[in-house]
Amino acid sequence: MASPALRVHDLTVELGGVGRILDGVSFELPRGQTLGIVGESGCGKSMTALAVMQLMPSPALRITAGEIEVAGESMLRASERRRRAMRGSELAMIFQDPMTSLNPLYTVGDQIVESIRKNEAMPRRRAMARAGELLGAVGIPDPERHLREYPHQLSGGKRQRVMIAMALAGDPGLLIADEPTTALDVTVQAQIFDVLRAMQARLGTAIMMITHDMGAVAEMADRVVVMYAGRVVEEGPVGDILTAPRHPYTRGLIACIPHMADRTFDEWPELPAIAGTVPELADRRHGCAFAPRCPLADRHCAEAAPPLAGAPGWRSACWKDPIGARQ
Amino acid sequence: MHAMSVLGGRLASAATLLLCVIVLNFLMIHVAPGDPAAVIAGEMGGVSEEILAEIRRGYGLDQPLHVQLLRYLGKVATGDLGYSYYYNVPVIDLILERLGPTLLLLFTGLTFAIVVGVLLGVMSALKPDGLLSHAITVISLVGYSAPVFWTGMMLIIVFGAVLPIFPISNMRDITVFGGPLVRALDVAHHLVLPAFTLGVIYMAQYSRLCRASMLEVLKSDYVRTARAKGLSDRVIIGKHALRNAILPVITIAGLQLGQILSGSVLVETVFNWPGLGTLAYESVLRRDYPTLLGILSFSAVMVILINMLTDIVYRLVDPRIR
Amino acid sequence: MTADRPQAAAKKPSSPLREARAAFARNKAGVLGLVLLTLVVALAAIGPFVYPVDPFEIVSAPLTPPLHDAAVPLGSDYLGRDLLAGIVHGARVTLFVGGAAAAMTVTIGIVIGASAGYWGGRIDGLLMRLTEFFQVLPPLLFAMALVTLFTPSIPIIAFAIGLVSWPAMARLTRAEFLKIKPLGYVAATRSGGGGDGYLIWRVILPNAAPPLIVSAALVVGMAILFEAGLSFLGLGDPNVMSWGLIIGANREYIIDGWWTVTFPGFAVFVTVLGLSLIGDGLNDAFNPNLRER
Repeated sequence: MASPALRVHDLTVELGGVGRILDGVSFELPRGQTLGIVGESGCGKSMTALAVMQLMPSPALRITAGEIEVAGESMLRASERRRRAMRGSELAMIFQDPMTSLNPLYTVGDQIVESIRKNEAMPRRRAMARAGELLGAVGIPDPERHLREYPHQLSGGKRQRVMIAMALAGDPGLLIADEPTTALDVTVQAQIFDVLRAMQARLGTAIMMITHDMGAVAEMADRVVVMYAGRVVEEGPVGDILTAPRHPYTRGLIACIPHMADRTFDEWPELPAIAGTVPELADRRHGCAFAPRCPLADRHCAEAAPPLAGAPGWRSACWKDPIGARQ
Repeated sequence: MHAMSVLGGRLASAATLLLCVIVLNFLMIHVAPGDPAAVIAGEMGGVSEEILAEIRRGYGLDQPLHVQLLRYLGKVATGDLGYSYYYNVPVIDLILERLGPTLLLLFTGLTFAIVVGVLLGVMSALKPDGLLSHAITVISLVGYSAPVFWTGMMLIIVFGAVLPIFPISNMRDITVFGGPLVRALDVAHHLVLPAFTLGVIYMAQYSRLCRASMLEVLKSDYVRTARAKGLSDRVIIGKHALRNAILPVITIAGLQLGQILSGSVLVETVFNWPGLGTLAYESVLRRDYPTLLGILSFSAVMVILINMLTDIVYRLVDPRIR
Repeated sequence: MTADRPQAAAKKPSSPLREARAAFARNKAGVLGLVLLTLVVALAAIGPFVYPVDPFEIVSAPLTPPLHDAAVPLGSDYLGRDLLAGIVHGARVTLFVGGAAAAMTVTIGIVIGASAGYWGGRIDGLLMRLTEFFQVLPPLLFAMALVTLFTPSIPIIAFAIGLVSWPAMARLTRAEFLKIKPLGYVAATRSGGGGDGYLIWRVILPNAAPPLIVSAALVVGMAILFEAGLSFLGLGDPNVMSWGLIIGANREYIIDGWWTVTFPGFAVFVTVLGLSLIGDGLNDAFNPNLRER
């Protein structure tokens, strides 16, 4: 009944004169759930996140079609003032590199307090106490001391915890995490996931997690959106997709998870890890963008782009998809 | 305690530098052609034999060189920078008398350069291809290429002959009487042109520098974080970006201090500003070596001290190197 | 297909130097700088032959304004000497002192910076202390003291300017050496039997050249400004006419004879501007990726 935490519909972003960075991207993220967005770099994952935040890095990038709704409210039609108010309180974001994402010249406490007071007017002293509680909640021991420290005095894992505390300071319904653990050690990665899950259980925050790592998706997500060259190529529940991927690209990504590499899938012949790279924006033609790298591609694939098809809930965009495209 | 050891190291190296400056001074007097006593007396023509003898005795010029050096060091250590035979007063008194105006000029010029430079730099960084950006590039290039004394003279022509709204010479008007406020305003009025002349080049340089670092900072991850937090542009630019963008300006301003002091010698001379620079100019004209060398030593001390101050400021602004 | 071929054949294999030269040629400001400097050099080279008036000779009434007397097209100074002659003859002195002082600055700077950066350790510490020491002395005051003590003459002035200006160059050279020394090809040359001298002069220095060349162009400009400043303060060689000398000599008459300081100062300005523009152009040419911003 209630509107989803995030609804992205037919989102298209163009780089002036060059082409479409995002092309008709659609997905929904229900409240309190986690959505994984996967793909290699250059697939448009981060651009999707920045579009949702309305923080496009360059004026040359323009949203030319589609809609973005955060808790039922349009981000595109909101005034800049309203968007600013929504950031931090309705939706928040954490980034890949927690070292460079925190301002080196201000204390941890100062940067969290700033987030708290932006969303709720309160005396600095009280906000600082609140910041201490938040640091405790994300699992930082001795929060009082860490509040007074500067980012360079913290370890990478602690910095990312600070980022999470800062993002959750305004109790947003949606948290966008852009490769939150890529810059961290594997052991720390597990801890950060624990923190994210714990915070989600506590606050009911929906998480949109962007990653290139299917393993991270397997661990964290309820649903998955697989992106390739600016389009959604497969979308569905994480369990289904991990056991029976319908798009060869998804299959390739799964093959990259170490303990899944040996699995075979009934429908298709054995596929090796995907060779090649995502095509540059200027090199994209009509037809399936994945065709040049796809072991299954035939002439039809190169000529026409497959639509995203299948039952709502689990769709893929592949002519060779045994379920979707055959309909 | 880390900060203390850093400070200790600084002080030690400052003391070494100072020692070197004094030794250099000593050497210059002795390496210069002619009788050191005559050098010390200054070539004011017809120095009496008694004065020369007195200098020889006072400086121990009949002693071996290392004894002379030690004696010289001892004198400098007690604040004795020598004696100006032209003015008939100790050099240090002359210097202290002229120090105030120089510091006032230096401080005003530098503050103008940094404050306006940073302001223009930030404004142009927000519009990288705007008119202001191009104007700053041109001003900076022109300001760098024009001799500072010539810029000052051009201003004198403009404000002396064409548009006489600012005084073009001296620090105060002797016909102005009144309370401290009136006199301060009079000095400020006289300060406008010299301070502008001294500061404008650096203003343009700092604005260029600040513009470049601001553009860099605006692309940084932490500014993106600040935007994602939903902060207003005012806070993002004024708090998160600005402080980071100022750091290179502080560094460069500190490094350029000797250069700026040199510029002030020329500016003071052009505007007859009664500071150390005009004193240096006068002592050149009068071949008053003790005064000239005293100013050199004293300026070196000033540069060392202000460098330490810059260091402290930098540490206050950037916690990473505390 | 056939249309493409001659073009492809005409395209020479690109070298960094050739690319830089092409990039410089495209840089309008840099080319303007080159034109300005060429004009000044031409003035210095042939000016005295084309306009053989003695700049010290009194040829008209004192402070004749420009365009009033055909004998002194740019006017005369406070003694009645021809200003144009002064500017024409002053070009040589100004360029010579600037060039000589810059050569000295660059030489000292590179030798000290390269030694510090190459050997590191205690040598580096010592040389950097020395550099710091020279940076603490306000350069103009230091040069004033030197020139006053040793009597103003062209060689002494050039020497003094060189002696007080090298620290920035040394720091830059050292920084470049520190950057290049750890690179693979340096170690490869060393293991191939290259000696210290060979490594410094033939391997590292050529690779450090671009920023040093840019800075050398600026150093020449700075030396010219410096010379003008000293002459203005009455520390120029009184027997040789230089631009700074004209300004310094006429500074008391600035209100009555604006031209006496305006023109020679403008000459200094144009020369240094030319050098700055060349420096900027070279900088852009050597760093093509910086230019895009």
